[in-house]
Amino acid sequence: MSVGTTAPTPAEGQLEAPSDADPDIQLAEGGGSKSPLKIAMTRLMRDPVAMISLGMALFFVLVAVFADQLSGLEGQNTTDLNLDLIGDNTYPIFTANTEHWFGISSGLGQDLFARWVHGSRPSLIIAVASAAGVTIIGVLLGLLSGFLGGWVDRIISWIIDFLLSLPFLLFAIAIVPIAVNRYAGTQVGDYVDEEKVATIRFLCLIFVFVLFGWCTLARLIRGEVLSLREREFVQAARALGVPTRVVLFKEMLPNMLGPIIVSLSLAIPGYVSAEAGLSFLGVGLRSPSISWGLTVATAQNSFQAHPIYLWLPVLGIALLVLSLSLLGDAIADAFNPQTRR
Amino acid sequence: MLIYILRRLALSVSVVFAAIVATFAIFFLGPSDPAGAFCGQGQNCTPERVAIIKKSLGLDEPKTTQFVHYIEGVVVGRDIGDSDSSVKHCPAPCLGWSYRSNRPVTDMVLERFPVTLSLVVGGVAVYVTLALLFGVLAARFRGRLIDRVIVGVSQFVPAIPYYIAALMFYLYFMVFYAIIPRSSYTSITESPWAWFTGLLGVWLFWGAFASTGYIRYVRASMIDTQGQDYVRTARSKGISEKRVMYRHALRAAIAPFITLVGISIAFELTGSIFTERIFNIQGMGLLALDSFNTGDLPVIAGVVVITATFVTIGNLIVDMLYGVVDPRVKLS
Repeated sequence: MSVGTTAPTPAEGQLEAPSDADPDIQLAEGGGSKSPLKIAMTRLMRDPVAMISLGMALFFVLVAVFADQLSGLEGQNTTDLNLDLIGDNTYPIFTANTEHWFGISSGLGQDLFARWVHGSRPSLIIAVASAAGVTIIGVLLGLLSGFLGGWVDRIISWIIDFLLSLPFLLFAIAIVPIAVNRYAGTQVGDYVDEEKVATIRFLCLIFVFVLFGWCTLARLIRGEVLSLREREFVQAARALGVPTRVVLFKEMLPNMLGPIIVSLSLAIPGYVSAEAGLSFLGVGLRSPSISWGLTVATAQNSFQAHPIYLWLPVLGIALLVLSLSLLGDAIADAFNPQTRR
Repeated sequence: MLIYILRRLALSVSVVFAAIVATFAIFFLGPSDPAGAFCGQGQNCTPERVAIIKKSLGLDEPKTTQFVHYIEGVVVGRDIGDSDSSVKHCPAPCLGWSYRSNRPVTDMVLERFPVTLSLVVGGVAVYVTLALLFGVLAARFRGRLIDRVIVGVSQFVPAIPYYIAALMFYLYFMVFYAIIPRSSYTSITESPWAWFTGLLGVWLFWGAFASTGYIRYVRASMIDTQGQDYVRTARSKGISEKRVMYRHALRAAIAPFITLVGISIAFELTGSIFTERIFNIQGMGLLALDSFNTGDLPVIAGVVVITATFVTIGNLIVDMLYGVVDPRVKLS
């Protein structure tokens, strides 16, 4: 299933043709009826806030992708200790120099630039993975629930209502120790592999985000299906004997790209923020993982003597989430027919 | 009306029950090792001792029996421990026994409840006031500079992660420059003034931050109701603009807002983990967080159950209030 990247395919028997074929044909005809996706894209391109946010978000994505190269350029890595550069009071004896561009951390003296560029990675990877999982499960269950109706719908709807009444944050807190207990074995005397625990924590975060994230999307999709189900082109397809699977994915799904893209773009900044937030609380990622949230938690204690240590990850999280959120808002605006000028 | 309330009540009870079942399933049927946690990490923790603890906590019984005991504890209370070792009585509603603190979970949670409640009630008072004030203001001067500034701020601020803003506020305004009194909690019965000043900074910051998320709702529904027929009728009757705004338009616009606030109050009772952690207020959220660090699962489970109950009660109250505030809604 490809969501969000491909242009909607033409739907059989579609009367109003809101979503449409090959963009090249559209261009050749010189306008006329445009697909909602294209209209939204055009509006987005003209929105300065969206473009600035996009630029900023892309900057962070590039930093995350080329983190190794960037720290290689500086000639440092994330783990080397520089205890000789730490003064008696556990603070570094300098702020920044040509060897350590952003200085070093208090206590252990690890290079801050290398850790900063690597710190953007977990947030982005977890956010993208969670968003992908949420989209697949949410769309699938939403489609099933709305289209099949009956007891399938009742069960899925009840699960959605139930999950939404549970406190997300507390479950996120609880699931990590249970999983670590189960898969890494913390019985007395057991050897606990740090790398393995780090991986479990990483996967747990994705799991929790997906578990609590799919319900809102599924509910949205269900509503869309209920309204689309009665439309002529779907009725026509069903009358022609098109299999349910094909009706769902070829006829209905392309018409829901707008809401799916909007919910995705609004969810991603939430996951970035949640990952860093949970790591900050000490219930998300932990050392040896490198995460901005984790750095904020440790740097908090030396913010007076060594402010750059705290400010770097703080600015990283704030700017990344800010740019992604504003971009999400802009995308939601662009897809909203009510704000169309 | 009565039938509606009863039906709504039955639904709420079923959701709370389901939450208890789910919590039990996740926390106690899971592969956690409460006896090990109770026993500790030191040399004294021999396999024999783990077995004794398991027996005294009833962990050696079948899971179904454990569940029946758990539910029994919630309804009528229960005794924990076997007959020959020390028996601990856990009165209803018993949400389990803390392995670490060796006391009933219910007591621990209820002890922290007033703290979080003070935090949430004060914060909600601030944000409701600010959201209504700025929302109505923006709607009244729609399209003008003041409207654009308010809308701009209300779009920009929620895009910054709350905990980052709160942390910087705490570190710089309460610690570094000390403009605002450092946050702390004193019981209101002990000293109302210390209670007030200790929480004031948190209320103002959290309230102001949270209000930005609601201003747009208030503004949108105010604009929406102003176009309604009954508002036009009210205007045509020659009622003053102020009265039209507050008695007619705002009253209808406030109904969806109440839903949001009601749900948020219930959620904030545990969602305040970040606030409590950053401002170091020993509430329910921090209790859950500390229990996480010590592996004290029954306490986290207890907080989950209590929160789910609050969320459900919150929803119930909101539904009831809805009819009172918005005359157009008939409960049936």
